[in-house]
Amino acid sequence: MIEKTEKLTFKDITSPFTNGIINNNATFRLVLGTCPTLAITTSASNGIGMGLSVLFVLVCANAIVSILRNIIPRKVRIPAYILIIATFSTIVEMVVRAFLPDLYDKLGLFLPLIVVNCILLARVESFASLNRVIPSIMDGIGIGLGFTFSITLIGIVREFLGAGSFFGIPINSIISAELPMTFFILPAGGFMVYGFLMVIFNSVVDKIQKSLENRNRVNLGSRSVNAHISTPEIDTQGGK
Amino acid sequence: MVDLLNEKKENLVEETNNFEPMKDNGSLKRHFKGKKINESLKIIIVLGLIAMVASIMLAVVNFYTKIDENQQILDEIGSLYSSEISTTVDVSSISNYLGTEIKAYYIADDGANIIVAKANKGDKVCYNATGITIIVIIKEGLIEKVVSFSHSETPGLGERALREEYLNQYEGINTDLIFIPEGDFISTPEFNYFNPSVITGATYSSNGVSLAVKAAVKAYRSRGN
Amino acid sequence: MPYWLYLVIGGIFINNFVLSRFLGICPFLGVSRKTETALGMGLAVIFVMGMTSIITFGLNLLLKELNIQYLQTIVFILVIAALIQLIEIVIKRFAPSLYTALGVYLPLITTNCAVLGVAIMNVTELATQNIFTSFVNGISSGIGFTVALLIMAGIREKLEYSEIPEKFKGFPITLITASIMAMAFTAFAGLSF
Repeated sequence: MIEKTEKLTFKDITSPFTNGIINNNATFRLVLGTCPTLAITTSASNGIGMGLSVLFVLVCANAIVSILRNIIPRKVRIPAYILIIATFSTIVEMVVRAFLPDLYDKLGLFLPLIVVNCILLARVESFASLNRVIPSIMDGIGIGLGFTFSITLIGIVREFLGAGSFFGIPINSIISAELPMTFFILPAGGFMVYGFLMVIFNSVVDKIQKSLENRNRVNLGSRSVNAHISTPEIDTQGGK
Repeated sequence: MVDLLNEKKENLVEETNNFEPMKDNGSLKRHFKGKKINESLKIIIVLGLIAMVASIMLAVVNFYTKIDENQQILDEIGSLYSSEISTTVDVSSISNYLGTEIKAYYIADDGANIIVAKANKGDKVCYNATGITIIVIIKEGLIEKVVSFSHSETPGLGERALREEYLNQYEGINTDLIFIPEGDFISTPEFNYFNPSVITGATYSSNGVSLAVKAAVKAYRSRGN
Repeated sequence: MPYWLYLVIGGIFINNFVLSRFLGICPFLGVSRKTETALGMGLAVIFVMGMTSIITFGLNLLLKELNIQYLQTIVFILVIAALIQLIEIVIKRFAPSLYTALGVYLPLITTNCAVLGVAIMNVTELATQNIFTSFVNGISSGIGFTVALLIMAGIREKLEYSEIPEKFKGFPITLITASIMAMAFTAFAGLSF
């Protein structure tokens, strides 16, 4: 008897993607991959470069692990995952070194260190080894994009406050030349910007989610069909 | 469908009825050992296959993305300097001055000496880093240009010592004015020598640049110039 | 002063692994809630880093000979994972009391950026040229990591009794504490001998 494989729903495909960017944001929510977050973000263009590298490695590793998820024996899954992730990480390092030597100089030690980036092992183990190929790929893209977005944001803030430039373009003409504070380029500034941005990000996201929930509640209340939400007006007005 | 299920149930019942506790301990051990060997074999095969595929993929990518540092240096020099390169000096004969390294030494058609020197931050071992590589062009005893080739300094901090505005100060300096200490690195030389300015906050990176220039000039002098 | 002493001072204060080089931050933020656990993790890391430095330096020479340097990352990480398994087995067998103190942190060290970081640093940076300096660099980086971890654990123990705003609880306040620690350690950036 052959089992019929379930069809992938639209939600299966898009929900890992949207979750990866906001709800499961690797930097501000899951707090994974903090080593490159603090070291690379001295300039915004570094952030984009690193983020896209991690995205590539994550998508490839997720895809391969998802394909092989029934074949890899459970006892050696961690070494197998590390082997797969290390392969793609080395490929990215070699490609960046050959075609983008400036980025390679700036990222330095952290390109080969993508293999021990907590994000990769965590997502591969918790998502890709249990789900099918296409949701895993979407999860990889989502988390990768979320990571890129967050480290670019930290990079923009640090670069603006610390060196007075935006993606390498100095904007001393708009603001006064007194602004660049070297503190933000130093490691101490990195920690501080990360901490404060985490607070800001979480507050903003919580507020938006709450207001969306409230709006949904109000909408459902006004329709008052099969409303299970307990607002007194509905109970007295509507039917059951 | 129901028949199929019933058949399966019958098979299971049959199997469980046939199951007898193994009286012979030897065969039990052998049974489990066989299972264990099977498992270990599977583990080894799967890991081995993954490793092999990984190595093949990496070898292929490596073949296509291999970089030749000499070629990169030549390309950079080509974009900087118009004259063609006529001779290549053997750098292995040049001794490493205070931990620096001369990566390449070319002489162009119009007599300019193009030296690629790599140095750490002054001589400060505490500041373990991957080094600064600069290209120094010396012509007829004068330093014509100093350009940064590769570095991994933090932008905004150490990188300020490798910007064009800072490296400009070496242009036109006579190589006789570059003080080359015999022993340890000295940042402020004796009187009458060229005293390079140092960027506040990037002291050791500036000292690294200074050391690399000294190494280049030393190599230049060692050729009898 | 002997050459290797510069490396020790550099590794612990000037180029502190966590507060200057940003390696090993995941356990720094995760494990450092109590001083005892921090000390245990730190000692395990020192031990692993020392042994890894020696083995990976030797392996790198071998890779250079065979001209397959592009396999460096894979070989290093597999060696680290295998080494940690081996150390765990050995400690469990021969020093069970040590195992109860340290052993539970050993598997966590596999994905610690610090260990792979120190292995790659030893082969690419200029001041570590031979196996002895690599070993010294590994040990002093581990000591620097432990020092930072211990300080953070001590501060966090005290933080539990403070009133922290709701949004800041958990990671944000830890990060800001780390920022102030890093500020203090930046003072060492002017050390000169």
